[in-house]
Amino acid sequence: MTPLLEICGLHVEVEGREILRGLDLEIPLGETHAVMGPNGSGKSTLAHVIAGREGYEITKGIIRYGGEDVSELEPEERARKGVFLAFQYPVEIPGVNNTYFLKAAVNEIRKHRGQPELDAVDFLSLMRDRVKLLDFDEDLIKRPVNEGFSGGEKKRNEILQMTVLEPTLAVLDETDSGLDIDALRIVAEGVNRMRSPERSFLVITHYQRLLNHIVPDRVHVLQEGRIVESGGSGLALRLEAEGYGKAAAVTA
Amino acid sequence: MRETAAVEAHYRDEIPVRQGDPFAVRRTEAIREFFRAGGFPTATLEDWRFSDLDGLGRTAYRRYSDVPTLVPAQTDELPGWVGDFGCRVLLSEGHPLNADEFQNRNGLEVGNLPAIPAADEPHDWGFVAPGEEPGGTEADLDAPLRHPLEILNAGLFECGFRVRVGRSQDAGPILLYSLRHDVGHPAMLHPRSVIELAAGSRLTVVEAHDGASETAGWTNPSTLCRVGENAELFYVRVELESGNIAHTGRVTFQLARNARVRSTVLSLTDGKSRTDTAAILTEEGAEVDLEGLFLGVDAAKADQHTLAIHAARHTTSRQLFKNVLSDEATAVFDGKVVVAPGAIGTDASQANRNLLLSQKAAVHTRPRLEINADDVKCAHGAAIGRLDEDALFYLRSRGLGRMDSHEILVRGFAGEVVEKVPVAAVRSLAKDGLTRVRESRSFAA
Repeated sequence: MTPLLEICGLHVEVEGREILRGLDLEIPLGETHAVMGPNGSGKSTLAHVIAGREGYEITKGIIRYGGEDVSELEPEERARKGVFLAFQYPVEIPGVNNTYFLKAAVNEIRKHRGQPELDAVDFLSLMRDRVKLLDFDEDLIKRPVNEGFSGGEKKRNEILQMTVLEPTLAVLDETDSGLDIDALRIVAEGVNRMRSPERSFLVITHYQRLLNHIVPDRVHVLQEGRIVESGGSGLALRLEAEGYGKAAAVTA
Repeated sequence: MRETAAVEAHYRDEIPVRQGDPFAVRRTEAIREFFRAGGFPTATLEDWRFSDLDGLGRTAYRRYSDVPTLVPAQTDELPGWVGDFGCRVLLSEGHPLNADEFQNRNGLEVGNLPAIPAADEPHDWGFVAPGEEPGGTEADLDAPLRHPLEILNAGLFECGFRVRVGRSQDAGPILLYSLRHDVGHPAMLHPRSVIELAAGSRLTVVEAHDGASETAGWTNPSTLCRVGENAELFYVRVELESGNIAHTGRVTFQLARNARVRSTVLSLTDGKSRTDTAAILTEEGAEVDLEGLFLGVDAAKADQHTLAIHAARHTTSRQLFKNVLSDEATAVFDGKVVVAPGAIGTDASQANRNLLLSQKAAVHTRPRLEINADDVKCAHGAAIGRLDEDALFYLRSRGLGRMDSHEILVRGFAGEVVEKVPVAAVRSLAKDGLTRVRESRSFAA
C-alpha cells in the first residue's frame, strides 16, 4: 500500500543555504511518526516544506502525499487535501477574529471535499464541543488570532484548529516547546483522541518528553539534513539517555 | 499683481447673494482677508508641501446655479445606504432636497438656513475676526478657524446647516449627505455646518460627501462642532467623491468640561483630498479620539492633518490614523499636538500606521509635538510596512487562498478603525472600500 507521506532524496535550500540534504521518510496512513534531532538539524525546515512555505526551495527529490507529487502545490492546496501544520511559533494576527478565521478555513476545506459549508450555528456548536475537550478558555476564541495569548494558549489554539479542521496528515512542529506539564498533557490527549487508522501524525520534537504522552509507531533521528537512524519508540528513550552524538556515530 | 487682483475679483463675484444675509459684509471681508493672507496655498508652504492642490488657484471655479441637479422627487436616485437614516439632510449641489423632512423633535433641531437669522452673530457660524494671533507661548484656540480655506468658505458658503441637540437629549444618528454632479464647468461647493450639543446631550452624526465629475470640481466644506459640558459626540465623516474632484475639508471640535468626542474620518475617494481635523480641549476633563482610515487605490491621495490643542488641565487626546495603499496611492499624515502652558495632566497620544500593498504606493508622515507645560504624557509613533509573510503563510496553511489571505489581513488592519464606527451603514461603506482594494491592480501581485 502507498504510504500517505513519502519523501525521497529531498534537498531543500533556504536563502541559498542547503538545509535538507537527501532526506528520506515514509509515513503509512494511520501511523504516528516522530522526528527528533538537535537544534539546526533541519526539523522546522522539514515541517515547513511539507506545508509548502514559499522560499523553501526543493533543489532535488520529491514529496508525495497520497501518491501525488505535491512539491509544487501552494500551501492552501495542500491544506485542502488534508495537510495540517501546527506551528512552533503560532502567528499573532491582530484584527482577525479567531472564530471568523477558523470558520472560513473549515468551509474552504469542506468546499474542496464537496461537503456543504457549515453555517454559523453548526460551526459554533462544533467549536464549543472541541473547546471543551481541550480545556480551552472560550473567551479566547472570540479574540483576534493568537493576539495576547500566552505561549501555552497559542499551542492549544493550534491543536484546537487541528481538531476542527480534521486533517489526514498533521505535522506538529515542536508543539511541546514552552508548555508546562499540565498543558503538555492536555495537548497530548487532544492529539491521542484524534489518532485513527484514517490519519497520520508527524511529531517533530527536540525532547523525548512529549513522546511519553504521544507514543509513536516509529522514531527517526534527523541530523544535518538527513534521517540517520530509525527505530521503534524505544529509540527516543535511548536518545534521551545517550544524546544525539551517539546516533551520529552510528552513521559515520 | 494684477493677476491676483483678477482672481480676487472673480471670487468676490462668486459670493452668493441672499436677501437678508446679515453676513454680506463679512463675506466680502473674508474674501479680502483670504487674498491678503496669500490666497490659495501652494506646495511651497510647509503646511501644504504634500497636499498637491496647486491647481486650485489656477482654475476659475464657479458656483453651481441656484437650482439643484436633482429635485426632491428624485431622492430615490440616491445610494441605498442613505435610506438607513431616519433623520437626514440631503443636499444636491448644496441645496436641500428634503427640507420638509427635517426633524425638530426630541430636543433635536435641524435647520436649513439659506438666509441666516438676523439675530445670529458671526461667532455663531464660526467666523473669527481677522486680527492678531496671540503672542508668546499662549495657544491660539482659534487657529483652526483661521485656516485659509476656512476663511474662504466663510465668504462663499451657499447654505448653512445647523444641528442643535437640547440639554440632556440623546439624538441621532443623523446624516448630512452632500451630493454633487458634473455640470460641465469647473464648479465649487462650500457647505458650512454647525453642530451644537447642549450640556449632557449625546449625538451621532455622519457627514458624507459624494459625487463624481469628469470636469474639474472642488468641494471645500467646513464643519464646526461645539460640544457642551458632559456632552458626547460621535462624529463620522465619509469622503466618497470620485473623478476629478479636489476635496479640502475641515472639521473643528470645541470641547467644554468633561465633554467627549469620538471622530472617524473615512477616506474612500479615488481623487485628491486634504482634511484638517482639529480638537480644542478648552476645559478640564475633555477627551477626544481622532481616528481615520484611508483606503487608497489607483492614484488616490489623502492628506490628513490633525491638530489637538490641550488648553486646560487633565485633558486627553488619542489619535489613530491608518492608511491602506495600493497601486500608486499616496497618503500624508501630519499630526500636531499642542499643550498650552499650565495644561498639566495632559494625556496625548498619536499613532499613524500604514500598510503598503504596492511598490509605487507612498506615505509621508510627520508627527509634531509642541509642549509648553510640565507633568504631561505625550506619545507618538508611526509605522510603515507590508503584509506580514508569516501571517500570510499561517492563513494559507489553513486552506485559505492567497487572495483571501491577503484580504483577511487587510480587513484586520482596517478593522481597528472600522469596527469602532457606531453606524452600520458606514461600516458597510468601508467594506465596499476594502472590496475595491482587493480588486485593485497591485493587490496580491
